[in-house]
Amino acid sequence: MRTGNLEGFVDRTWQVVHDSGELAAAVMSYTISGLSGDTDVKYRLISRVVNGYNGPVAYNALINNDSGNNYGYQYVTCGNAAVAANRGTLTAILNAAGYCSALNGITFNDFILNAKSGSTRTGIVKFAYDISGTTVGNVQVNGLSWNNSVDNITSLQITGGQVGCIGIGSRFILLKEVHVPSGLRTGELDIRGTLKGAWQEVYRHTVSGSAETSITVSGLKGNTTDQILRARVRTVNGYNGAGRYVLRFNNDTGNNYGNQYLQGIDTTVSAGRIVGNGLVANDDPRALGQVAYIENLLYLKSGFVRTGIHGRACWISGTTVGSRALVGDVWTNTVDEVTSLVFAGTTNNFGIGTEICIERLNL
Amino acid sequence: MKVGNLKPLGSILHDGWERIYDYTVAGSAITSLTISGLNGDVDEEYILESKVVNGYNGSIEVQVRPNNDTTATAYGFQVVQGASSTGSARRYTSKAQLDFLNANALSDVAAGEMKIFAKSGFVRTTLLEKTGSISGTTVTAVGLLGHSWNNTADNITSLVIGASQTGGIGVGSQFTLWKKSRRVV
Repeated sequence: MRTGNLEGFVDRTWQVVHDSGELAAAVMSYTISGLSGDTDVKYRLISRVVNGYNGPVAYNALINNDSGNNYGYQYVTCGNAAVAANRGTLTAILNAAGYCSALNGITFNDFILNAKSGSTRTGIVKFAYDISGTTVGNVQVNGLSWNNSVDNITSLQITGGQVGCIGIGSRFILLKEVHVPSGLRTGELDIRGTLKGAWQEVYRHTVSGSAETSITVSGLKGNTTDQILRARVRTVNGYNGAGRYVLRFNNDTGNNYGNQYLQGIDTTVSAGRIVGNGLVANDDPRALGQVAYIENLLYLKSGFVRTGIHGRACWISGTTVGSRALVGDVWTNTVDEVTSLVFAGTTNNFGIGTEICIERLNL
Repeated sequence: MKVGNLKPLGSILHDGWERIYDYTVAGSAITSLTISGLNGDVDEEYILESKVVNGYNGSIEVQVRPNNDTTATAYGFQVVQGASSTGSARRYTSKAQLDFLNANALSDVAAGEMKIFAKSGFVRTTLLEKTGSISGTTVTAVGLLGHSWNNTADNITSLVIGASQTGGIGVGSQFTLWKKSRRVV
C-alpha cells in the first residue's frame, strides 16, 4: 500500500500522542491523560520548560496522580566543573520535565518511561537546565522508578508546585510506542510523504572519495516543519591529528553558543562549561581514523534561546572508547528561523566513512 | 490521507524507525535469546531497548553479542555513572561482549536503551543509557556508556542477548529492537 502524507497511528512505530504546543499562559501543572501504559508499553516525553516562577522549581511528574512516597531516583549531575551524585526517594518522578533555579531559566528534557505493569516501572531522564543566554548551567541524568507494578498508567501530571512555574513558551510532547491490536491491515506500507507524529529522516550524507572539512544541511524550516530535530553522526577523523568540529545554526560564527558537559575519560569524571562560536560536538579526536558517535536532540523554534542535549562517545579506536559524555547545548539567538545546520570542522575532520543523519519529528 | 489505526503486516517504508522485534518473557525465566535475520549493512542503525527482571537469585549481567562474537578481546567501553553519592568513570578495553544491563538480586529490575551504529567498514559503536539495579524505590545506579566492537568487516546478522547466570532473564523481561526503515538504500 503506497500513500502520500499519512495521518493515523501505524503499528510498530513511535508516534506523538500529545503535543501541548508552546503554552500561551503560565500554569502550575500540566496533565496528559487518556493514556494506556499497558497498551503503549513505553512513552517518551520531550519537553522545554520556561520557568515562570521567581525561584527554583523541580518539574516532577505524578503517575496516575500518585503522590505517595513511591518513587525512587539516582542521578549524576554537573554544573561548571563540579560533579555530584545522589540517590533517594520522593513523592513524584524527579525532574521528569527538568529543573530551573531562576525566573525565565530554561530546562530542556528527554524522559523515557517504561510504562507496562507487571514489574516496577522504570525511567531515565536526561536534561540540560538553568539555560540562559550562552550559559548552560547544568546537565544531568536520572535513573527513576515508580514502585507500583500493578496499575495501568493512564495519566502523567507535570507539577512544579509554584503558581505559574510552567511559564509561557513551555512545551510538552509525548510520544508512545504504537501497538495496534486491531486496525486496517496492509501488506508493505510505503509512505511517500510524511507520517504525522513520527521521526523521519530528512537528510543523510556519507563522506566518500575524500575527507571534508565542513558539511551544511540546508533547506530547514525551524519554525514550522523542523521544530524538533535529531542528528546522529558517526565521524571518522580524516585529519592526522587533533580536530574538533562544532555545530552552528545558520552558519552563525559569533560567540553565541554554550555547552555544559559531563564526561568520563578512563577513571576520571570531569565537567566543564564552554562558550564559543559553535556547539562543541565532539571531543577533539587525536589521531587519523578515530571514530566518534554522537546523537543530538535539538529544539529549533524561535522565540527563546535554542536548546539541545547530546550524548557522545569519542576517541574510539579498536576496543578503546576514549570518552563518554552528556552535554547540554544553547544557541543564544532567539529571533532567526533556523534554516541550516553547519557541521564545521578545522581540517578534514569528516573523513571517508563519516555519516550524518538528520531526523525531524513530524508535529 | 487520514486513516484510523493501521496494522501493516509487511515492512513500513518511511525513512523512520520500525519495530522489528518485540519479546516479553513469559512462563519461565530464560538465559539467552537471539534476534536473527538482521542486515546491519542495509539497516545501518539499530536501537535495542530492554527492561530486565532478574530471574536469578544473585547478581547478573545482561550482555549483547553481535553475530554471537564471543572473542575475549573484541569489545571495549567507557562509562560515566552515578551510584549513591558518587560519580565515577571506568574504561574497559578487553571485553567479550557489549555490557548492557545488570541487576544485583532476584526480581531486581534494570532498563536501558542502546543505539548501535551497525554498518561495517569501521568499528561498530554504541551509545547506551541505563539504570539499575532497581528494587522498589531504590535505584542503585544510572550510567552512560559508549562501546566499540572491534570488527570492521562482518555484516551484523544477529544479536545474541545473554545473562551471566542461568535463568537470569526473568519473567516480565522485555526486549524491543528497532531498525531504520529506509525507502532509499
